[in-house]
Amino acid sequence: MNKFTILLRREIWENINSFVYLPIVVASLCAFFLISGIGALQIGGGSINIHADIDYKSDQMTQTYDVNDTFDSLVGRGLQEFASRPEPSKRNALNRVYLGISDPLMITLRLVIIFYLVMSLYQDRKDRSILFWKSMPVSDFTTVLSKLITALVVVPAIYLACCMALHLVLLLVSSLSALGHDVPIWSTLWAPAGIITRWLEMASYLLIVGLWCLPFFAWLLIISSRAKSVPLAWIIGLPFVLILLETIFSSTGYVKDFISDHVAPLTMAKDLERGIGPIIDRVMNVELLISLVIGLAFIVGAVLFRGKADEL
Amino acid sequence: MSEVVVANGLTKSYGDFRALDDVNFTIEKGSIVGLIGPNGAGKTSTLKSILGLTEFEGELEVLGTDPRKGRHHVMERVCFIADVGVLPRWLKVSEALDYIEGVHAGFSREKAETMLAETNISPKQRVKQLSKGMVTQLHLALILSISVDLLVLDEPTLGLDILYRKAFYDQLLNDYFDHETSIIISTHQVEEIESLLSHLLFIDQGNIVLDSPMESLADSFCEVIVKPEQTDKARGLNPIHIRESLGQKSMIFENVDRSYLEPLGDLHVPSVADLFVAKLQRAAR
Repeated sequence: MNKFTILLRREIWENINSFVYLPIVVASLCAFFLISGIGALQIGGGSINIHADIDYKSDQMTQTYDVNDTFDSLVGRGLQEFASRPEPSKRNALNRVYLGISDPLMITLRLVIIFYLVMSLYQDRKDRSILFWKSMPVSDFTTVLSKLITALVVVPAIYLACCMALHLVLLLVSSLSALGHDVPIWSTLWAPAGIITRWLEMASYLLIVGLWCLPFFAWLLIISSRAKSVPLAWIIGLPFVLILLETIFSSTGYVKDFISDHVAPLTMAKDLERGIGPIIDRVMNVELLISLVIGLAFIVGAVLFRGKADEL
Repeated sequence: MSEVVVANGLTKSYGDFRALDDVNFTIEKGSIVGLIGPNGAGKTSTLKSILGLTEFEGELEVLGTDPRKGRHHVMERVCFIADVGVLPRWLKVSEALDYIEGVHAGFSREKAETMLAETNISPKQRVKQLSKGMVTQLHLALILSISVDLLVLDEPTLGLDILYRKAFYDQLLNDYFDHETSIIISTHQVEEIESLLSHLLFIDQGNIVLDSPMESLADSFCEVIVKPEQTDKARGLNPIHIRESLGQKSMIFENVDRSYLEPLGDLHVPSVADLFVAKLQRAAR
C-alpha cells in the first residue's frame, strides 16, 4: 500500500467519530426531518382543511393566495405552478433548496476541520505518542502534509458524500410527494435540480475554499505544532494583534478584510447559489496567490516546529 | 562495515550548559551496549543525536550516514523505544499492524502476529483497553518485528513491574538478538541488564567515564574483600572505591596488577552497579 495513503487512513482512524460518524448522524437527522416533515403533511394534511393567506413571492411577482383547501391540493397547485415557471427560475429555486439542506453538514464540516487542525500536531505531544510516531520512517514534512491533505481533501470528500446521499433522499422524497399531482417529475424536479452539476460545483467550491483559507488552516497547524497548550488566545492572538496594529498605524482595512475573509469566506458560500462561476472569478487574482504564499510559509514553519517537537 | 555508530567530538549545548562535551565512542556491529549514567548525565542527548531527533555539534556517523540528514532516513535502519506505553490510546492493534506495515519496509507482519498470538492481546482491542503490561508486550512485538541494523532503547522498562521488566529483556534476547543487529540500552537499573551487555559506556556530566567491553572488565578492574590487617596496605594502592559492609571493607582497583592484590584478600570482578558507583564518585571528586 502507498505510504501516504496509510498516513491518511491513520488520520481517519484517529478521528473516526468526527470524520465519519458525525456527518452520517447529521445527514440522517436532516433526512429524518425532511421525510417526517413531508410525510406528516402528506398524511395529516391530506384530510385537514386549512385556511391561510399565503404571500407567495416569486422572482417576478408577488401573489396572494386565499387558501381554503386541503393541504394535498395545495401541494398539487404549488407543484403545478412551479412546473410552469421558466427553466432558470426553477433551477435557482431548487439550487437554494439543495444548498440549504446541505448547510448543517457544511457548517459541521467547517468546525470539524478547525478543531482537527488545532489538535492534529498537539494531541500526540500531549499523550507522548509522538515518541512512537517519530520512531517510524516518516518525515516531518510528510506528516504535516498528511494532516493538511486530510483537512483540505479527505474530510470534505466524506462530508460531500453525505451531502450527496442527502440530496438523493431529497430527490426521492420530493418525487414521491409529486406523484399523483399531474406534474412532469423529470422536467419539474430532476432536470432543474441538476444534482450531478451541483455535486461537481460543491466539490470545486470545497477545494477552492480550502486553498483560499490556507493561511488560516496553516496558522492552526503552526499553533498545533508549537503551543504548550492550545488556548483560544493563541489562535486569535496574532490576527487580533495584526488588526490592532493596522488600526493604530494606518487607516486602511486590508489586513482586517484579508483575515476575516480568509477565516470565514461567507460571501463565497452565498455566491455558490449562483454556481461556481462567480467564485472562480472572485478567487482568480493575486489575492489567492498571496494566500497560498502565506499558507506555504506557515506550513514550512509547522514542519520545522514538528521537527523539534518533543513530548510536552 | 563493523562500526554501527562512530562519535567524534560529539557536543550538545543548551545555552551555556553542555549536555555532551566532546564525546567520543564507537559501537561495533552485533554488540549490546549499556549506556549508563545518572539522571541528566547526557544519556538522552546521546541517543537523540544518534536518532536524528536533535541538533548537535561534532561528528557522528550512524550506519555510515550523518543523522542530521533527517530522522526519517535514520528510522529506516534504526528503531527506538523511548518508553514503552507511549502507543496512542485510540489505536487498535490491527491498525498498528496496518500502519507499520504501510510505512516500514522492514516490518514482518507475520512475525508480529506470531508474537501477539502468544499474548492475550486481540487485534480488535484498542491500546486504551490494554493493561500497562500488555501495552509493553504490544509495543515490543511491533518494534521487534521490524528488521533494522540498530535498536535503541531509552529507559525501556521505566515504570514497569519486575515481572514485565524481566519478560522484556528475555524476549529481547531470545526472540530478537541475532548478533547482526546492534542494541543500545540506556538505563539506570543496571543490575537487570548486566548479564545482557557486551559493552559498557558510563556517562557522567556530559563525559564518557568508562568505555569498555564487558569481557575486559576483569582485566582492568578488581574488587577485593580486604582482610582487616591489610587495610592500610590496600589504601596505599589507590583504590577507586571503598565500601564497607558488615564490618568488611571491599575496595575496587583499576589497572592494578593482580599479584599486588592477591595477598590483600579475596578477589573478584566487581558488579557493574558497584563499578558504576565507583567511577561516578571518582569523576565527582
